Amino acid sequence: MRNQIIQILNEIRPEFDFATENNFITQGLLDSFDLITLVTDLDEKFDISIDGTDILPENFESIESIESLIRKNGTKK
Amino acid sequence: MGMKQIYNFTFSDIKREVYRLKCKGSKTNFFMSEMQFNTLLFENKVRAFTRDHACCLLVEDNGFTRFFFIVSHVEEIKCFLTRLVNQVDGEVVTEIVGDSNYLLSIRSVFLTNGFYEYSSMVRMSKIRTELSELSFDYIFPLKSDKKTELQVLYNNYFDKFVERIPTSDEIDHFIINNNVYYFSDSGEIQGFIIFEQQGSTMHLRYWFVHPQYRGKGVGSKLMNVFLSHGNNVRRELFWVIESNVDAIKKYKHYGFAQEDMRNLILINKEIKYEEPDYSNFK
Repeated sequence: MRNQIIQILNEIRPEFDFATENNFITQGLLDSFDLITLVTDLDEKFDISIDGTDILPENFESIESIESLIRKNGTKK
Repeated sequence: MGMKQIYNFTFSDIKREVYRLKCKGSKTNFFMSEMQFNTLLFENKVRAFTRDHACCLLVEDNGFTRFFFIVSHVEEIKCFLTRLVNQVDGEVVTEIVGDSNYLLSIRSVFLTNGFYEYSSMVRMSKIRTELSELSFDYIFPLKSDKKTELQVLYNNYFDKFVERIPTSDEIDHFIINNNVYYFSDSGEIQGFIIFEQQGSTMHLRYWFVHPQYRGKGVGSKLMNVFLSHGNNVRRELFWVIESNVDAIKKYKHYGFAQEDMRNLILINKEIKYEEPDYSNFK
């Protein structure tokens, strides 16, 4: 799952190495427009629907937080 | 359930609508900050409408209306367009932001329901690089005493539908935070630049050179302020009108690359943005 998340992030923002970064939102690596693309991509690739109440900056700060968000929203992958 | 207008709402209520309507395939163009929203609410410029699977906002702007939507499915937009938007006097403008895939179906709903593509903006960005031997001659931080002069330039040279002319409060905010610089060798503003740092990203908000002073290096001096300002900046980013090929060429010269991230400006009138012709100034 980790590699898939990194791949999605790299497609959105190829200039950053997300595998070694943290604090994606706080550091300004992703903004609100990127989040919309990211949520759409995660919904599609993991066959989930991330709950609206989970679309909070803190859930997208690192690979680990995105991973736990996907698990929480019930991926079968 | 039909559509109903809601009253006495707050930013939190609209956020709750975003949460309620989020599902696979949901779409929105509501990216307003709480500060912007509250200013508009205070000025009584926002109307909100809701349905089972959708919510929309009509916001009064500079003589026209902006349309924002939060829908669980793209077809929900159609109901607002046919039953609400066509009752509004004057122009209604909507902006939709996203990558090509996200925009495709939304654009199609608008274009088949009385809207036309007025213009589009594309996002450009680059990783910050260190610059050396910069000259900042004739560059000054803009203070409140120049605010009116700045506003006149906005009113005279900026497109109200595309370029999001900042409100008086937003200009104050930029000035207080030392985010505005101007070029002058005569006292008057010959060009200005406004930027803002968010995390490690520096956002270019506005870059303008008065037509009379173009081709004289004013723009590049101002750009150097943006390219060197701030602490721990790693990325530089902005939106540019896609038809402004000269500007895009200039930005590419500075190392910026176009992204697959667009802001389409759609309007319920058959008009199209045209690049202004300033040849009479030369």
